[in-house]
Formats: sequence, C-alpha cells, structure tokens
Amino acid sequence: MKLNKDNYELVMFDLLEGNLSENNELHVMKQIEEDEFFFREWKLFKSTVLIADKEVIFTGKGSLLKEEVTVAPVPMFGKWMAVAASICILAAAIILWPRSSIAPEVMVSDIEEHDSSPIDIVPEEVIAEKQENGVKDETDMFLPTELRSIVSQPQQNLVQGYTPPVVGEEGKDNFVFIQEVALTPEQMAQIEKNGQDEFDKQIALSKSQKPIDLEVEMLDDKIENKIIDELEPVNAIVVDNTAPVTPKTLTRREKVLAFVTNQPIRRITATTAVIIAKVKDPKFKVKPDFKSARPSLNIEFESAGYSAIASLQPFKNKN
Amino acid sequence: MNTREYNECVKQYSDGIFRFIVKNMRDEFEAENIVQNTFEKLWVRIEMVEMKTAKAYLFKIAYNNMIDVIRKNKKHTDLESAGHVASENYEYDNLIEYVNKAVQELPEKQKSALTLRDYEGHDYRSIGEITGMSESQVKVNIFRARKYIKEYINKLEIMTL
Repeated sequence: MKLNKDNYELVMFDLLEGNLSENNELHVMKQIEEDEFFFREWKLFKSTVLIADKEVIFTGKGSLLKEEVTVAPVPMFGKWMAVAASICILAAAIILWPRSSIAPEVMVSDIEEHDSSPIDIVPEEVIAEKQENGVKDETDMFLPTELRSIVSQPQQNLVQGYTPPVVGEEGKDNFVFIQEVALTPEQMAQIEKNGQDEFDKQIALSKSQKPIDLEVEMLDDKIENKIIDELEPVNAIVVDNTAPVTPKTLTRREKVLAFVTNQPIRRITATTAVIIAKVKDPKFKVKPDFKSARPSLNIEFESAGYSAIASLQPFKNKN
Repeated sequence: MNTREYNECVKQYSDGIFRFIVKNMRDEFEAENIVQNTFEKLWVRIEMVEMKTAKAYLFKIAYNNMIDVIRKNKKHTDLESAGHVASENYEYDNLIEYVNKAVQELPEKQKSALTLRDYEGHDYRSIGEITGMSESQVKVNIFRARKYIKEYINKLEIMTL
C-alpha cells in the first residue's frame, strides 16, 4: 500500500482504526516515518482519538439501583411432611376413637374367676323358723333352690357365684332359659308336707327328662305352649307373665303368695344374671315398630355366639 | 434480565453513558436526566432485554433521548460554524482542549459515532445499531469526524505559531 497525497488520510484512518493487516501496518508505518509530511499528518490524526475523562462519573447510581429480593431457598421436605402428617392423623384416630363403655375383658375375667362352689341351700330349720316367725320374704321358700339362691343374693354375687344348670346337648354352647313356674295351693301344701328338697328333686327330674333348650328369639306363642305341655308331668303350670293364673279356690294368702312368687322383676333379674354370666361383647338394640298392623317392640341382644330377641306385642290378643 | 443483572448494568454502564452524553451535549444536568430516563426504560422492559445486549440497548436509548433533547433545545451545531468558533478561542493551551472543542463542533452523528467508538470501544456494527446507521455510514462519519478534528487542530497550531 503506497501512501500519496490523495489517499494518505484514508490509509492513516484505517491504520488508526486498526483496519489494516499487520503487514500493511508495518509497511504504512515505515512510509510515515520516512516522510516528514506524512509523519506530521499522522501525529495530528492520532490526536483525534478521544480519551475518556475517568473523572467524569455519574453520581446518581444509588437512585437507579433496585433492591434485590433474595428468595431464601426452602428445602423440599414435602414427602417427609406428608409422612409425618399421616402418622399424626393415624395416632389421633387411635387415641380419640370412641370405645365401648363395657370392657369385654373384664366380663371374661369375671366369668373365668367365678366361684363354682356349691350353692348355698337354705336349711330346713331356717325355713321352718321363717314360717313360724312370719318372714317377710317368703318367696324364697317356694322357689326352686336354683332360683332361690340366685334371687337371695345381690346381683354381683349372682354373676360370680351362680353356675347355671347345663341344659341341652353336652358340649354345645346353648343359651340357657330358666323355666319358672307358679305354684298352686296343692303344690304349696305338698311342699309343706314333704319339704322343699323333695319338691326341688321333682323339678330337677322333670328338667333332666326333657331339657328345655331354647333361644330367646324362639319365644313365640307355639314355643310357649310347647313348654307348658312339657312341664305338665310335674304338675307345674306355666303362667303367662302378663296374666298370672289365680284359681277361684285360693285364699287371700295363697293369692298373695302366688302373686309374689310370680314377681316378674325377680324373674327378670335372675334370668338376666344367668345370661350376663355368659355374655361376651354384648350388644343391645331396641327396634320399635308402631306402624304395622300389630305394633311391637323388639329388643335384640347379641353377644359372642348368642343372640336373643324379645318381642313385646301388647295388643296381639285383642284381635 | 433480573434485578441483579440490572444493577450490574447500572454499575457498569452508567458512567460511560453519562460521559457519552456529556461529551455530546456538554450539559451534565441534561446528561443525568438522560441517564435516569435510560435506566428507567430498561427497568420497565427488564424482562425483554438480555444481559449480553444490554450495553447497546442502553446506549441506543440514551442516544435517542439525547437527540430528542438536542432537537428540543436547538443546541446542535453544524460544521460550518466551527471555523468561527475555533478562530475565536485561542485560550486553549493544550491539545486535549482543542480536540474537545473540535468535537463539540461536529455534527451529531459524527460526534456520537466518534464518542461511542473512542469512549466505549464500540465497533462499527454496534455503533450502527445505536445510532441507526449502517456500518459504512458509521465508518464514514467517524472518518469525517477525525478529519475535521485534525484540520481543526492543524488550524489552531498554524494560528498559534
């Protein structure tokens, strides 16, 4: 590249801007150094390069800067939090779950630890003494010994100390139904003559011959009639709870005795005690049915291996 | 671009933009306003601007803003009046002052191209993006600016000899 009067400005400009190759730069610089005019012109060209004044600064940087929002990294514990929450919910459900007010374990232990000692029997002397002294509770004397012992004891003792008679097939866990009878004046006279033990033997003999193995839910009219028929050999009269039989020939005292003997509350208490002694996990349901043609109140009782249904139909005999 | 990068732009380019505006307008107050406006516009469009193009973007905004202000104030000078001004200022006692005076007499495009080239080291392409000129136009304007400054200095040297 040859410098001359016409092109030296453009060549020097390219040299100043760095637009020439290294060889051209060396070649041009050599020509500039060899010529005084070009050297002077090159010196002026170099003076055109502006040099920034570093002292000139913008003082308003602070107003331009923005606050940097630093977001703190949150550890990702989502899975573990979910696991912890699940454990807390499960623990709360176990702790707060409603429990039955009856502890089955207690009932079982009571049954297992019950006293199986022989039932105390009221001695004949005591009975005679009570009869002579006008004992208040004469009912016990006329009850079978089994029921008498049950009724004469508090309920708690009954549960723990009374062993119900085995009724039904051996080894079969049947429900026990205790048959009660109302005594006629002839029977009472027989008891007074032969003693209570003899009467109890007859009762026991009748049960051993034809045991009554019934579930409570089977207590309809037909079953009741069947039971009454089976009890006839011992001259026992099955009396409906709601309509005790009172023969016309009874004296006032006999009527009272018959009524007292037929006390439903005592029978219910004794029967319930026998049932409770064998109950596990009891459940009690009351199902009223007042809309049907025959209104009734069904009482269902369920336990482990047992179920009983008592149906009250107060108006069934009207129709 | 995020806030941190925006702040980095402020720290890195605000001085250069300010010097570029001051060199062209010789008005530090106007230069500060232009720098403020420039970065405000960047903040508004922060999500649309990438860090690697932020420098050219900022200088382009500043340049356009400066042109608007100059046109508004009618402070721009033309090359024809430069001779009169130079001949009337003999008090410049060093070369830098001569050059600065010559630069002030350059047309806006030449002045802007030259200052962007020398102050910030922009290449022709970048200067063209900022000023809206092609690369060849940028080169021509820079050449004319240097030639004018050279002649300006040469005249003063001749007059002072």
